[in-house]
Amino acid sequence: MAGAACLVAVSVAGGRAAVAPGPPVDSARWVRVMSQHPLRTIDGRTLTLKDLKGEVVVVNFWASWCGPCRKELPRLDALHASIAGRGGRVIAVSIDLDAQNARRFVKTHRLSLPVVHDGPNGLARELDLPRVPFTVVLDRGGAVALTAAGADEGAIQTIVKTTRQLMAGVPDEPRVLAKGAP
Amino acid sequence: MKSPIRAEGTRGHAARLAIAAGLLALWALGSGCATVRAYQRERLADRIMSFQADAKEAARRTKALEAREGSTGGNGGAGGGCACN
Amino acid sequence: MRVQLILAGRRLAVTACLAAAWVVPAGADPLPEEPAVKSMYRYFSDSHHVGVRSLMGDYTLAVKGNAMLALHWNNERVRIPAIDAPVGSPEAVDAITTASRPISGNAYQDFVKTRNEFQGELSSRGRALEYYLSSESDYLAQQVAARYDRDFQDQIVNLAVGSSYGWDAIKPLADSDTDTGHASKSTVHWDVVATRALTPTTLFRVGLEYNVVNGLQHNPYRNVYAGGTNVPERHPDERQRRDAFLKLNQYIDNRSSIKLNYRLYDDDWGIVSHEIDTNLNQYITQGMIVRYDYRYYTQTSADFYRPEYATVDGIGGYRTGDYRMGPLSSHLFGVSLDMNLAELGVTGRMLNRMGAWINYERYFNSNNYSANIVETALDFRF
Repeated sequence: MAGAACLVAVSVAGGRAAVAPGPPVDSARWVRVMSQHPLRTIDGRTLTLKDLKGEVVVVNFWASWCGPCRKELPRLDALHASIAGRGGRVIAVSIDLDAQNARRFVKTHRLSLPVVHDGPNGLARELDLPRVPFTVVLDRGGAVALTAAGADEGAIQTIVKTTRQLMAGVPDEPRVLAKGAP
Repeated sequence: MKSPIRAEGTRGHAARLAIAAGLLALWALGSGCATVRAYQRERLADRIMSFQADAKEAARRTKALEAREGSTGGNGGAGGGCACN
Repeated sequence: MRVQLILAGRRLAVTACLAAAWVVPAGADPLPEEPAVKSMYRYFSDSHHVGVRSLMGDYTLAVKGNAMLALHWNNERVRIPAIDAPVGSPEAVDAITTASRPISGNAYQDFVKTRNEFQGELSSRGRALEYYLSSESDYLAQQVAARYDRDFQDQIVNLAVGSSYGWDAIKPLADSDTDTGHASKSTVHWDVVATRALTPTTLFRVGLEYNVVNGLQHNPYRNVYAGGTNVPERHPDERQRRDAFLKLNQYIDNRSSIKLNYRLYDDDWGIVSHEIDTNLNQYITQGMIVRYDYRYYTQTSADFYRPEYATVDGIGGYRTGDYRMGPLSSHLFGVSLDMNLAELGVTGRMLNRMGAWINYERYFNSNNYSANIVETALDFRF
């Protein structure tokens, strides 16, 4: 019994990478759907991503009920502050059921980045969002440069680095970033 | 010294317990169940649905009730998951 | 010799499990606890006028590398009232801590005992190591535990395994009826728990637990009337305890949830028990949750339990005056209120990081015993 229990413990724990890679996305379809989907900000404005062509756009899908999202969003807010008005921006897309929850979080943490409320049945369902949080970085041409699932330090740093490289005009191949990958 | 009174009956009961729990686990974990997508988990992440919020309270109550009753357990270790990454 | 080898083997298995669960690659990255401080006051009083006052503190902080350190302490003060009964008869025992009292010349005044408890847990990415200590005048309990959990199927399923080893040192206080000198007890525990999101509004959990307890497991202060005389209580030295449990959490419209729990327990002393616990959780408003709780419990008796013993030997050499070894059923009703001040719109740098909780439970069982439990807690997140 003791041996069996140990075997269960070790076999469950070992033998796999600590982090499962995120599923690949159909970049062309994602760009097409996101570009045309109207997004309503929590302060009542409407915008679409196709209007932002020419800018580097970081689209972060988040929810107030998601712990890692709550830790990541202030970091992305800082990124937005450093690139806004200089050809880049971060847009946070809330998939909360109730927009009030998103508003409350933004107000409590004094976030300045544009926050959109789209609910769980908008873009998230259309794209079949694989993880939350999930970040898509679009280059100036509107193509997907990076997707990242998760909010660990490695993912955040890679999002920031990729965004800055795109802002500086450094060409980059589209990448799918697994949680925790460098 | 062990209780000499109970032997085979207890072992049989324990085996039935393990088999029943194992079958239930297989049913619950079976891939036949519908998948819950990442963006559909808001209700599952709500405090009123949490197992973790109950765990400490359950542990305190179990400790108090162990002094009153003949059995123990039912809390397990920590489970987790079923939320965003 | 054979018993010693078996016990050593079990200890080795637990040690190996503890080590394995920590050194293997990181698993699930669960929703991290927020750093917080929490203090709780609890008061327990029962129909035998036993009172237990508990002061608890919890401190959770983030440490390097995505790890969390959780510290818990508890100071409990038990007051067991004077006994209005001859020396050697079944005495008032029981408290939250199972503290018991010696019968002596002072049996006719209140007995007060203090217990201090400490627990520390280090957790990171699905792995946790824990140390527990409980100290009172006649009982020192220690335990080390480890657990590991991992998500599967895109975080739909979680599997957790846990193991612990506890060792107790028992030094009964001097007493004319105390039967036992220094004694010890050890507990080895394993558990496996599986959790699954069945639907966007349903969570299901199933678990199996197994405990092996060796050592002193009767009350060293208690006598039993057997064969026409008072003799010390005697229970078996080994006990294998098993339980399986199911938990179902279902979200209901209108911001409520209902939770159903069932536990089946049995051991090799003959006790089989069923426990059904259900609670309803309801948001009164954002930031305020009320919870209603009901629990029903029933158990059979231990094989060596008798209301009276015809001979001094009891049943197979065992005799008990512990009502917990007999058939028993109980009910528990509870209600609690949980408040998050920030979500209630309270402003202020300190206040909007605080939460408050109050809980009342009423317990009664078939032994004509009842108890009231009141708990209040304050927490602060930083």
